[in-house]
Amino acid sequence: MSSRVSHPRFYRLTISTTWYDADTERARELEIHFKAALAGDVHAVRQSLTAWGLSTFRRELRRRGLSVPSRKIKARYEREETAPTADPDVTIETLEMEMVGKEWTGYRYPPRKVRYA
Amino acid sequence: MRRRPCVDLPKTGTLKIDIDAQLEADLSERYIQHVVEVCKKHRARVLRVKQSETIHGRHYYIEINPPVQAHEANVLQFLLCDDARRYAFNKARVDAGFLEWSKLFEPPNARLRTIYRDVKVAAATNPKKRR
Repeated sequence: MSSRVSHPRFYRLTISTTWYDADTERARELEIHFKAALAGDVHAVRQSLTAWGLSTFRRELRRRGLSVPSRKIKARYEREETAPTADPDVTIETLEMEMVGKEWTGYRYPPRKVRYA
Repeated sequence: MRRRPCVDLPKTGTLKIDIDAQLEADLSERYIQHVVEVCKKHRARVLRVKQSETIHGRHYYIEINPPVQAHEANVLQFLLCDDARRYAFNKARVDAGFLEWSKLFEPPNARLRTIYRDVKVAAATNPKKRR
């Protein structure tokens, strides 16, 4: 039996994809940032949160009428930090980027909280 | 795309640098000197530098005092050899008012090593050596 205590940690997951929008003739990027305070083994939590996040991300892509192959979707984590308590709610923030001229510009949607299942 | 006016973000006390190159020990030492000098030029004192190894190179977490505005922090990161593409994305995130604009992705349980500590910080965290 393992004697390790799994302290809650903050997980910061970013799922993103970049594509070329032929209508506006501009490169675009969609980023969804997930922040969750969860307890458990880091590898296991990362794996399940990634699966959960990817379904949210794909839903967002469908809503925008986009079809993106899996290989073009990146899911990456920042370093975990200790959280005071675990929280079943995940904060989700969406950022849309667009290449205007030679510069990326971004639009941020208001953050929302979703119950982590 | 709808645009939102630039929002004031809180000041940041940690610079995050992504260097996609393997640095020899000597160059790494010179890089830290460069970090301290550049920050000093921008009226910021380097308190601590932590480093983690990546597949392509290194990540640096630089704690500075006083904290600086998000735009200034991004410029400082670029001056400290941060990835140019990362600078461009961070700039867009800051302009959009995204709170956690500086992203540095790490594998699970990434090990951070402190490679520089300001003398005052070192004395405060290691009181025995002060005697």
